[in-house]
Amino acid sequence: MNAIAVLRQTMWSGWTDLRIVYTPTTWAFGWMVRVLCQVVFYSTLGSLLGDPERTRYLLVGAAVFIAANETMMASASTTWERLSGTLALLAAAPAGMVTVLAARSWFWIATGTVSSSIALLALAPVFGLGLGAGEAAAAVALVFATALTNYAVGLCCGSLSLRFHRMRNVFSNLVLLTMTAFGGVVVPVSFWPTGFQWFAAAFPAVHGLEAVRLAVGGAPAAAVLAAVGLAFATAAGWLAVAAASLWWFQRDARRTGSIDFGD
Amino acid sequence: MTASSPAFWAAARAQLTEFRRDPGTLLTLATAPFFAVILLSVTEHGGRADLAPYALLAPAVMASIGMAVMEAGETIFRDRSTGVLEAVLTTPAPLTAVLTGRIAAITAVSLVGIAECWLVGALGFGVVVAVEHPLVFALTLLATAAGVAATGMLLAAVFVVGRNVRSFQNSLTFPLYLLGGAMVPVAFLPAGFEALSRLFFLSWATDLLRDSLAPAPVAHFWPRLAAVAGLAAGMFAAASWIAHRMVRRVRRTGTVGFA
Repeated sequence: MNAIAVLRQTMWSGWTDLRIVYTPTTWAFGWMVRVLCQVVFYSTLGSLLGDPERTRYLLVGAAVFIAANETMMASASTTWERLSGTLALLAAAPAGMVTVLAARSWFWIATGTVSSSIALLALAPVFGLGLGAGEAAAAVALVFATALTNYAVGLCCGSLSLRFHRMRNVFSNLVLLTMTAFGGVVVPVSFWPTGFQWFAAAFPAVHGLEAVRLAVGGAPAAAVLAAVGLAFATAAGWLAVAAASLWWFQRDARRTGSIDFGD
Repeated sequence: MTASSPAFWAAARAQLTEFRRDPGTLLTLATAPFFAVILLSVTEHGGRADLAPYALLAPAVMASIGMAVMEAGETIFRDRSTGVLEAVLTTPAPLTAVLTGRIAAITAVSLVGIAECWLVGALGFGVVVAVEHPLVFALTLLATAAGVAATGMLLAAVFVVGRNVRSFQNSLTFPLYLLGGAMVPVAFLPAGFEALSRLFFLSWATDLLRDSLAPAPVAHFWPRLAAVAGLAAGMFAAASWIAHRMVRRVRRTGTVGFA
């Protein structure tokens, strides 16, 4: 019962944060314009290469990875408790801070799913990707799975950001770009040497994106579900690391009295 | 002349100190090699070795314009938040000299991205891009740097005048990369967008920079360079005018210290 109450309050706090981050105007005319431009930027690479198949590949990769992009913002938002001065209060509270910090940035999963899905569905006809109603619905569900599982990676970065506050955007950006480079977003994972392929397989969003590609390509449901399963399995690993890291941060910060001092 | 003012150099030194103090401000430079890997992998995988110069030039240009948006654009806003703007306005040094000094330092540092991306190509992919027309490249780069600095100045002024405008800061990078033809020439954009992009100095600059790396002779170099320089000068003039108005307004309303 207590855990549910803590989660409810945390979700409400996240919702309040979201309303500060975006107004409907800044979301629609700021963020979404950037999202669409980002996806068009990558998709037009296919036009430059003169290859419609590659254009569609780049479109799907760039659009789905918007969900990864937004959930990596959990790295920065995990530290907002420090900025608002509530971190010490959380450490003192009997509920502890691990659950709160782990759940407070949930809204990136929602916004990531929405903006990624809009980009994919709105730009698909522009770049010659035909999506039926069933494929579109499956793609949106799988984009949600990608956002949900990648949140665990964002949270891991967030647990580091609590220690190194000024690097909060550096961690998330470098991890995101690593995934973008080697995770089958712009070129197939098989383009890279075997070591890089194993490395890429550790990231949930790479499997989430693969699931979307399989679904829009009309692959059997079993193959799609296998990719989703890998996304959740790797996410469980990242979540365990994030929880351990947050717990260690709380213990260490209490012991040394450094909870409000970063960097 | 702004660059001869002691305030210009003092501001440039202060900005370099800021980079050392907070390495997070160099994030854009840290991301440039990743973008080089991403874009070069696309052209290599597509079997288009002729597009490698595009893929290595683009992340360098993106780093430069990205720093104009994320760092240069923040300068006045941060100075106002930390009380530095009040101190600056009480000195005889013109704000334009201080601002230009800081933004010139940011732009100069951002050009490190060119070396980073060239090294990614050479060491990571064995792709060595040669500058076929060094004079064209050097002059265009100079004009481009001026344009990037002018973009930073304009954003720095606009982000203070319209406080809500700063909410759009994070959203500006990719639209500017696209309209500036950072990777894909604007000729590939739909006609309406191409016309719009021709009002932005970067679209002329990236076309010229790409041409300077190709063996073919560069057509109409001087008029195109004049377009880069002219549009950059226009942007600088607009930035100075907005900054001047901003200073007058905050002095009149007594809100220099309110961010």
